[in-house]
Amino acid sequence: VDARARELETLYRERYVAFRNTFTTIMGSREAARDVVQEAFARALRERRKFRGDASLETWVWRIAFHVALSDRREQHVEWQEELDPVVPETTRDPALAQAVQALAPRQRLIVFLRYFADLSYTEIAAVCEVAEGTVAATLYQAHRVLAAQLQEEACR
Amino acid sequence: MITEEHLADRFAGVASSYDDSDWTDVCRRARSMRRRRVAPVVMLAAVLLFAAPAVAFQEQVTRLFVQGEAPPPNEPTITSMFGEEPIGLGARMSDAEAAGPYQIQCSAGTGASLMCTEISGDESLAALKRGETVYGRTVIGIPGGAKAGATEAAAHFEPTDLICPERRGDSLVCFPVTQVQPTIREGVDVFAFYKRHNVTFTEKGNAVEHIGEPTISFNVIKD
Repeated sequence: VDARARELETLYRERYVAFRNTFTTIMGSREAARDVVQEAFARALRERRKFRGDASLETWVWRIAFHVALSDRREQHVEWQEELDPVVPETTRDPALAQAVQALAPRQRLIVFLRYFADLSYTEIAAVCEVAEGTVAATLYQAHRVLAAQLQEEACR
Repeated sequence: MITEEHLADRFAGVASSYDDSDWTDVCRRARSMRRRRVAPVVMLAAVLLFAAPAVAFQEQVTRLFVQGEAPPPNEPTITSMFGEEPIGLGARMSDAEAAGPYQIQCSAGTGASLMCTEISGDESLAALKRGETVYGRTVIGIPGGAKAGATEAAAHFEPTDLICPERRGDSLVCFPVTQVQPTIREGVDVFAFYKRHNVTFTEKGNAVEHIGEPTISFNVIKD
């Protein structure tokens, strides 16, 4: 086993749950999300020699995972980012949060989930989504304002 | 204004911390991808290497197969596992939980194993506190491997172990080992072995299992 394969295994073991939770918001079920993550890491493992190090290894795997997820989605004629409609997976655990998140645009939701479910930095989110870091910061700022308003409104009821 | 920390806590509350990762499955998928790619090339090579000489030297090829040694018999292997999953969290399991049938939901099988989770398992893992480590077990069974009434294997189990002798649809029905008293039917290679492991919740909220060596491997007990 080469060093890159070991790195991938370490990444998988440390970050599997974050990957699966994030893709649960996109795929709609934990089973489907698990399949995406397994397939993504399998592809990464197989193609590891193609990793050039332009971004971090994790960013590279996230991109592969989105590609895998979108392969399924494309069969339903859904496009990358703009058409994704991620949702909070366990709405019953925090209905107020789930409802507040629904007030966000789908693209905002995706970035929020990458921030909070995947625990990615602004830089990493920018790399995964192939947007400028400033765009991520602005999106999250707006999302925070919307969420704050929604959640405070909920708290006052 | 709501802070990032507050939001992080709220999102952590709705995220599942259950860890159903399986690196072996990743490796298996990677290998099967390779095989899918390589298969046509191998087929072509096989045709070139074997088919043409076979036509030319049919007699020798036939003799080779007839006189060659038979392959060794297959080693006994586990061909169909019920599940490989932390079944029950011994230290945390209350008497009430251990007293009744326990249902476990399994996903579609991957290779020789099924990935199973307690139907309410998410709750039990999610209820752990970060940094906490609990004692758990992994029990691997084979369909038909358990039956009531015999006692030979019971000594190897602990009261908090669960045995899952029945499969109903996508669910396994499990019972406390003290009720089932499992044994092994003749002709079944292995009934079960279990691994000690601990589950630790990291500070990030991920569940990490520390699986030790299998502690017990059962042999066939003839009826």
